[in-house]
Order: sequence, then structure tokens, then C-alpha cells
Amino acid sequence: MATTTTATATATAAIKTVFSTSTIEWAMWANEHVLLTGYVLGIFSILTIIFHFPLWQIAIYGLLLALFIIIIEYPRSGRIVKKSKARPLQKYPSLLLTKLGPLTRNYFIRFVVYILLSLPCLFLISTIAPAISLIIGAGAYGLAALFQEQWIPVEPKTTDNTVPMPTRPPPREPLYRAPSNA
Amino acid sequence: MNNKTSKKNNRKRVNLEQQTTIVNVHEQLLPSDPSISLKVPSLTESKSRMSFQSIRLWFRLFIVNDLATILVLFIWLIINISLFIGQFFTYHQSRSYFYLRALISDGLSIARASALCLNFNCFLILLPVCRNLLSLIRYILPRCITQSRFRRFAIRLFDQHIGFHRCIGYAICFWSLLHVGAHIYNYERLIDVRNEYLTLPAVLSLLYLQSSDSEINPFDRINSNTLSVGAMLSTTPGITGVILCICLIMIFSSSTSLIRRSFYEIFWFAHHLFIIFFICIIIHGFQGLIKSQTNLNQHNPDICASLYREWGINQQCLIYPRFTGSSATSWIWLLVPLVLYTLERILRFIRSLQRVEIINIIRHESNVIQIRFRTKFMITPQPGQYIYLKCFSIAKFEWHPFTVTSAPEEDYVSVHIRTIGNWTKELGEKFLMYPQDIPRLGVDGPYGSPADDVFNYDGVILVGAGIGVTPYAAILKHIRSSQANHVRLRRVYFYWICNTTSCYEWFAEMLQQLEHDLRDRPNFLTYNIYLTQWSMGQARAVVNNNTDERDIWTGLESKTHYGRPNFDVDFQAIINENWEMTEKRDIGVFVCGPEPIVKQLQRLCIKINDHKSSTNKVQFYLNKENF
Repeated sequence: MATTTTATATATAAIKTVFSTSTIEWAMWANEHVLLTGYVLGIFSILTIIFHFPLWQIAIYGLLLALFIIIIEYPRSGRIVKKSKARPLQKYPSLLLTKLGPLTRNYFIRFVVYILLSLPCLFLISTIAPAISLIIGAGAYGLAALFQEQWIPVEPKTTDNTVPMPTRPPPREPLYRAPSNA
Repeated sequence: MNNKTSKKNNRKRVNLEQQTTIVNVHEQLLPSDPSISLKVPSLTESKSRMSFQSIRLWFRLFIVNDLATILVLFIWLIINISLFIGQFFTYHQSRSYFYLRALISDGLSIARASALCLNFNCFLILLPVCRNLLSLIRYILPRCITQSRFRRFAIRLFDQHIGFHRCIGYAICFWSLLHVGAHIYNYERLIDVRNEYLTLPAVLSLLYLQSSDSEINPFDRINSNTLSVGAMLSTTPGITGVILCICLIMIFSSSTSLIRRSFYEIFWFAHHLFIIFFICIIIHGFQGLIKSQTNLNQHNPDICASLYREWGINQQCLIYPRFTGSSATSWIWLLVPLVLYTLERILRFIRSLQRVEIINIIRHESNVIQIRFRTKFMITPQPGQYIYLKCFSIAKFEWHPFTVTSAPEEDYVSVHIRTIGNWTKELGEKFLMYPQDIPRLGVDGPYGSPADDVFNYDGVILVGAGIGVTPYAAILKHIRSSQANHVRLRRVYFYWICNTTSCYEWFAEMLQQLEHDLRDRPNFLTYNIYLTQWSMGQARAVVNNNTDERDIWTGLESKTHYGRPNFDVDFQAIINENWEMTEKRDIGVFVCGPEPIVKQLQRLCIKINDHKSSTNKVQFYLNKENF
């Protein structure tokens, strides 16, 4: 326990010297990065399946992995400091993610799972670049787990209906008290 | 009879007893109901009145606002597409690439054509971010283009340089997708040929047995057990390609608006991966894997391709084809922008080392600090420009932009900093020990386009909403200081629209000073200050102090109005006002604020210009400044 805490402390200190002035939530960038990797992986897997290159069966796995990544990563997590803007149509996968509970809330699980799942994709020319960038995204999630961040579902915006809009314009004085008034 | 005439007279004058005000307005200009939010009138206009009038209005809006940008983007798009199509057909029909096309068909053409577009876009992408280069061009431009309308178009183009940078970035991503897709196909196909027997591609892959000059397939000698990935990674373009893909994905994912706005450091540091990107692009073509045929007169592909089994035997095809690799051209494209950008960064670094002499630090209410400083080598900032500040003891690599609030006539440069973020709060804490402990500052600038257009008009309407009011401090001070030199400007109407009373109290102090300084020139400067949100307590305070000579929030003689301004009525009153001028008045409208206000003012200006053009009394020019 002592070694892990000192490792956490040194890692935190190292990052704090570079990014010293703000509180960075690594999970937000990791989310964007892994989602983009999911899209790229999907495109290149489809390309490989169309052309039936050797070992194209890995591309089927790649496509399924891409769909999995997109569903898990599409809902944007809520933020600690500010309110985060939800992506369009986010609430359906978000429902699924809240049901899964600690599996999706904890970023360390995502770190481990993404690294393991990306290994088969390293063996195909078309998917090796997305696979490496997925490993980098998983590393960012690992950093997020180091800072004990969590995935929080975003509530939809409730419009404040307590004060109705005025129906009449406010009274205005005549604007120009210049001498040349008619 | 008497009653009837008195009633007629009453209707024409202002009737104070009934607590209503009747203002003379032209009927066409008054909107239906000013309390409706600003977005709704445009919707009702477009849905119910798709008349010729509104189409013409939309078209005029488009020309006035966006034409220069759309034109430049259109030309850039046309260049991209024509480069792609030209290069595609060059490779598609070229005889020297006949045999390579026999191996990988049109994957070659798509890959090479998108590579040319990538070279072109990588050449362009560094240019809009060389801030000093743009400042230089902005400085030279007024001397070259004298007609002010074209000058305004050109200057507005330079204000949107980050927008162009993003468009070119998107284009790089698109062409990269095409290029990588085509080359994946090429790689797989070249490796897959080993499974064929006695076809033209198979014969071509065996050409290395003849002589070392005749190799066309780079993967003809690989072991049939090696993975294709391994073969790809052993080539230079393969491994630089993978690194390029990863860098591009990281740059793209860290440039989304969420990351840019909330976690700027991730964006800034991840964007510096472009150095690796550019180095890898230059190395990418060095191996010369794409082979073209050199001895076309000795071995004609049109005849000999179908006779591939008889090469060396048949009389027409005695000599085997010879190939040579294509040379790398990326470094030619990238040399000039890289040199310019390196000079730019060196210049910024040298400028950051110069000594900044802090003259004074003034604290205002609501967490605003004013820093006055002087540096030896900085050009005097014009009103409307901004500078970058760096504090060495807080963060060594962070530059933060601030609008300059001092006029060029003053001998110091001042910026007003509101301490709301982490960096500004730490800066505020560091200045607590002033004047004993002065932290070391670095200054870079000034950047941006100056608002020096104000003196080209007879009257000027300045509208600042919310946070857009900061540059007007400098502009108003500039107008006050140089009013003797520029006799054309007769009227300045200043609109300040704010939703709280507390955020810009430093600005109110400055406005009081200006009011005092200009009290001998009546009607030169008119303030219209609008407060758009208030609490019940504030409303009660207003009603109780209604008869005070000075306003309770700003302390100015002109009282604060409540609600949003009614520009239609105001503009009409400005037109009707007597300026003691006979010729046509040019009135410039400067807006700095959120989009709805800009759009509203734009429509109004175009409507008035359209309507009044017959009588030729007044012409409104809208300048949208994005400071």
C-alpha cells in the first residue's frame, strides 16, 4: 500500500510540474481519443472486410470491437467543476452504462480491458495504427484512474420555467434631449 | 369644435399623464414586439415572408459578411480537387506506371493523388498560425490597398486565420484517410501476389531474378510465413506511416472544442506532436518504393503486357523492363513553411526574454487588476489589439491573451485582468506583495487587427455587449486623445449592454472620466448603458433614487436604461437628428458581442441603407469586430 501511494504521489508530482495551473481531467481527453479511435477502427475494418485480405477475420473482430468502443465511449461523463455538454442522443447508451454500475464507473477497468482487447488488432496492417492509438487512450484512462476520477452520467438540461418571459416591453424614456426636438 | 382640435393636438405631442411615450418612428422600421427574444423575428420572417424583399436582404447580408471567406475557401477547394483529379489521371494513364498498375490497379492513383493534396495542405497549414507574419501583412496591406471597402474585406480575412487553419486540418484528415486506405490496399495486394502463379502480377514479382534493376514489387522476397504487418513495418513508409496515423489521431482528438476550452494544456502540448508529424512526412518518401519504368522505348508495356510469358524469348520483348524508385518530394513543399514557423517561434521566444518594467498595479472592485507596464522593444499597441502575457514563476510555458485597454497616446501599456481562472488568481496572489516582490513577466504582441477605422466616419456607433466591452476602453480613450487631429468625427454613440452591475466597474470609472473630459463638447459622446437583468432589491433601489442627478450604478450623468436596447428606434432618431451637415453622412457601426446582437444590427443596417438610399441622407456601415 505504501509503495502504491508513493508511486501515485510521484506520478502526480511529475504531472503537476508540467500542468501546474489547472485541474486536468484526463478522462475527458481519453474519452474523446478512444471514441475517435473507435471510428477509425470501424472504417478500416470495413475496408478490410470488403477486400478479403489474408487474416481478414481479425477485421470482423475489429468491427465488433469498434462498435463496442463506440457504445461505451459515446456518453460523455459529467464533470466535477462544470456541467458537461451531453452528446446528441447520448441518453440511450448512458442508460446502459449506469446499469452496469462499477464496471463502467471505474476507469481502471477500462484501462485493462482496452489494452487486452486491442492486442489481436495489432496483427493486421489496416488496424495496427488504431490499435496502438487505443493503447495510448487506455493509458490516458489509466492516468485518470490514478487521479481517482469516476464516470458520472450527465443529466439532461432542465429549463427553468419559474420566471415567465415579460409580455410587454419595459417603459422607455424619450431618448434624445437634444434641443432640436420636433 | 374646440374639443376636437384639442384632441388632435394632444395626439401629436408626448402625453405624459397617461404614462405612455409616443415616439416618431418610421413604420417600416419598428419591429412587431421588442420584447420577443432576438432569435424569433428571423424565424417568422423566413417562414411567413419568403418575399423578394427578404431574399434580397439575406443575400446582401451574405455578401457583406461572408463573401471574402467563402471565396477564399472556394478557391482553396477548387485547387485541392483539381490537384487530386490531375494527379489521379496522370497515374491512371501513365505508361511508365503500367506494370505497377497491373499489380495494384488504381490503388496507386488514389494514393499518389491524395499524397499530392496532403503535401499541398501541409504546406498551407503552418501559414495561418504564424502570428507575426500575419501582423506584418496587416501592417503592409493598408499601404497597398487604398480603397477602404476592399481593405475591410481583406482585414476581415486575416481575422479568421484560425478558422482557415481548422479547415485545412480537416482536409488533411480527409486526404489522410483516403491515402492510408489506398496504401493498405496496395500493401496487402503486393504481399498477396505470392499466392498467384503464372499471372502477370506473379511474373512481375519474379522479375528480381533477372537483375536488380528490374525489381518492381518490394515484397517479392519475403518468406511466406511472415505476417504482412511485419513486412510493412520493415519499410520506411510503413513505420513512418503508422507513426503519422497515431500522431494525427492524437492531434485531432485533442483539438475538439471541449478540450480546447476546458483543458487548454492538453490541446497545446498534444498539438506539438505536429513536429513529429512533419519530420515523419519528410522521411516518409525516402525509400522510393513506388517504381516507374525507365526503358519504355526498349520494352513497350502496351505490346508486351499480354505476352508476359514470353519475355526474353519473343522478339518484341527481349529486354526486361527496368524500374527506378520515385524520389521524395515532400521536403520541397514543407521547407518554406517550416523555416517561416521556426523563425516565428524564435521571434516569440526572443520577445519573451525582454525586460518588462511594471509601472503600476491598480486594484479595482470585483476582482479586476490593472497592470501598467512598459517594454523597450514592443510596438505601441493600437486600440483593439491584444497581447500575450506570461508569468515565469507560475508556469514557464503558458501564454494568456488580454485585450489592451490603453490608448496609444499614453506612455504605458495597460491591461485589465479579471481573476476568475486558476492562472489569473495565482497572478493576483503574486501581485499582493507589490512593490516589494515583482514577479517576472513576459510579454508578446501586439496581435490582432487595430480598430483604426473609427476616424473614417462622420458618426460612430459602438456597441459592446458583455465581455466585448473591453476593447472599447482603448478606443474611447483614443478618440478622446486625438479628437483634435481628426475633424471628421462628429458624434460617438456608445452602447454598453451588461447583465450585472458589478462586473465592469472599472469601466464605469473610465467612462466618468471621459464624460468629465468631454463636457465642453456637448452631443459629441452619448452613453447608452443597458442593464438586462436585475433583482427585486436592485429594482427598488432604482425606483427610490429615480430623481438623482447621477445614475446609482455607474455614477454617470446619463442614466442606465433597463432591458435591451431598441436599435430601430435609436437609429431612426440618429438619422433625424440635426448634425449641421449637408452632404451624406457615413456612420460606422462597430459591434463586439454575441451573435444575436450582431445579426440584429446587420439586418437593421441593410434595411436602413436600402430604404434611405433613395433620399441619400445617411449610409450605415457595419464592422463586426471579434477582439
